[in-house]
Amino acid sequence: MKIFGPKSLSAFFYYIFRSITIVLLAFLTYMEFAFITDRFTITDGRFNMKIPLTGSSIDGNYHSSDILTITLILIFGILLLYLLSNIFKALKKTVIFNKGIIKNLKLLTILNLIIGPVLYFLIHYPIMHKTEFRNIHNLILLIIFGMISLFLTYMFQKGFNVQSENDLTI
Amino acid sequence: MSIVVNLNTVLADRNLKSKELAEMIGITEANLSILKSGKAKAIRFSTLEAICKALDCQPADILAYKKE
Repeated sequence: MKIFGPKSLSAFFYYIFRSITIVLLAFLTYMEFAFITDRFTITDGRFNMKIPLTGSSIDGNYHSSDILTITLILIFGILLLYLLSNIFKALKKTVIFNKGIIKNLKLLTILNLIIGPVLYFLIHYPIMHKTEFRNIHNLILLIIFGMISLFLTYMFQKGFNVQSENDLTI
Repeated sequence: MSIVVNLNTVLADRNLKSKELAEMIGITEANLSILKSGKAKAIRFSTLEAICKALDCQPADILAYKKE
């Protein structure tokens, strides 16, 4: 199976990631709508919310900090998956060294190296008021992904320059 | 760039159109336009040879160096 170009593994991943993004966005919208319109039950300080069409439900502590944390993590996840789907969309093209992939890799780097860690500390201290420093593996993973996407950005930038020079060789 | 392409002058001397030259040397009109406008980053020896053959000229008639 081809890795790049139309009808390739990249195209397959584009549809997978874009579908998950849409499902997560719909889930986030439904969850926020349910919280605003009181479409959930509270038992022993925990909320329970039915997910339509699935027959399952989600529950958690009914605190504004918990709800805000879930919302922020979901928004971060949606953005991450959306950018990944955009990257695979760019790899779906015949010429893979294009401006689209560089732009999306840059955004992915910012998301992982800046927004991710900021969100991590924001959730950890001002929102959840945690005293101990836990789940550090999430932060390490964010930084590793950020570094990989940073290097990939510059590799694709170099590739784009070589491609442009090649295209302008008559 | 300090390399100037004088293809328009040579074409005018020989009463030839860009389209005709593009057909003679086997490149697209778009690529010939890039070459004429000076936007090209490089020219292949094979392209240069084809142009010189078609226009019966020397590479120096087409390319010139101009100090910036």
